[in-house]
Amino acid sequence: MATTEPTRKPHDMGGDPAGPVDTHEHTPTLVERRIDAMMQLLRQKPRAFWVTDENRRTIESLTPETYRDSSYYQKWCLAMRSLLVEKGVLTDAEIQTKFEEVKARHSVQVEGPSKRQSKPKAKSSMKSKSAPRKKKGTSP
Amino acid sequence: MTHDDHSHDGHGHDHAHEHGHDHPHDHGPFQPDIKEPSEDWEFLEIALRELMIEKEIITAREIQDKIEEWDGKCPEMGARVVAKAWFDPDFKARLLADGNAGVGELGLEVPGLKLVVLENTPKLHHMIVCTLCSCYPRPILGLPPLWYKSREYRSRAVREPRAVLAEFGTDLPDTVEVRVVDSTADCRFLVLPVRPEGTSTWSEEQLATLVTRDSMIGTSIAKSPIRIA
Amino acid sequence: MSARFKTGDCVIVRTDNPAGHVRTPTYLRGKRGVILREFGPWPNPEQLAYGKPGWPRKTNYWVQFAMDEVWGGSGAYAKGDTVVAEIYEHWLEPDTARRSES
Repeated sequence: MATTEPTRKPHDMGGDPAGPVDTHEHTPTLVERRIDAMMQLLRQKPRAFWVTDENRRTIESLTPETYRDSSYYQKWCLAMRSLLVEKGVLTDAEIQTKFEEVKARHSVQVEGPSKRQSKPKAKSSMKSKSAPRKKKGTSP
Repeated sequence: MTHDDHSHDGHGHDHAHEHGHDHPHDHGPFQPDIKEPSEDWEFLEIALRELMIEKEIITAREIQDKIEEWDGKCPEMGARVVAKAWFDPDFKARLLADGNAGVGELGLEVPGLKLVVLENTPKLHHMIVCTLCSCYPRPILGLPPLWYKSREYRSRAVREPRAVLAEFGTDLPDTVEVRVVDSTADCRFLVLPVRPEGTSTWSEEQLATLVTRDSMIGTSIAKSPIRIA
Repeated sequence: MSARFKTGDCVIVRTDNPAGHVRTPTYLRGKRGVILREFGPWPNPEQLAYGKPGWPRKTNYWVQFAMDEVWGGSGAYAKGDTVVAEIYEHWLEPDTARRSES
């Protein structure tokens, strides 16, 4: 097997051993479709911040672990972040700040909809000022 | 309560979005499951989108329009192309000679890429993969299926095509050359499957019902009219 | 620009292993194939990937390989099965040994 070649990058997988193909259908979620849409808008005129091969190069530059463990649109999202910074469209600092803000906001609200479905009166928890729930995981 | 358009993630994409991001949260008791963002990459998507909208790099309307544009692209477009090629030999000749111009006759476009239509025959079966990323004739077939982008398909299609085909229920005799097409550059490939037997009297519209997405990727063959009837 | 190869020419894929972005899959490097078709000149993706315009353009060829040439019998394929890929001209060398056989 060619898997021992040290310099081969994780995307270059033709011929690698792998399990059966999971042929289940999957309708792209709204998040996935939004990432797809944004990536097209950023790449196409009039913006044309980058070209397809720059997008590919960015995805190929993910660590082997990230490449392996991330879904297709997860990789696209990480690439979008890198390219926006690389091209000077957004700064790393402002993305990080916004990311923390979004995460805190949604960590509070995570309790909301599930309780609302079973116990409608729990709607007040949406206004809760409780601290954002700490979630495991690393910053993007 | 504060309005938060991101709670809409899990629903609302099956209808027109005339109301954009401004509709209220109260959908009544039959509200579908809402998938709240819970993973870092989902938070990142929201963060990047909000930042770009705030800074007027991109508008929410543009994103919505682009999503709707792509929601409208589906394998049925490719099926129309194949059915026309089966029905009209002159069109087939033009399509095989120049894929972009051929699909252009049906109002379809593959901008910036060279569309190459590959004819399957009783002796030759094409099967498309992109081992390096996930290149796919999206403008003709819509967004690719999940399996097309999977490690399993991308790794194995070029080495174990017969085993992969079997997983799709496709068994071809050894007398047929399986030609695996690794989509490594600026061409996009569309397979023209073999026209099923017993369809000589079928109309173009009827023929289109036999053309599946997978038969245009080459992991499968067109449907049999017997199984349909 | 005149194309370096023509349909039917025997070629060998280079065995280079550059660090940057390339579109030549590793499993095909060093393998012997035949030019099936020419797809004309395209901007070089190895340049495009780094924000450059991709000049000079490189002719892209559709190269066909016998499965046995690529996998040496270790795969699930029939004897006549093949794999084809789009390979840019600077990744291809003439296969002089085989050309002289024909």
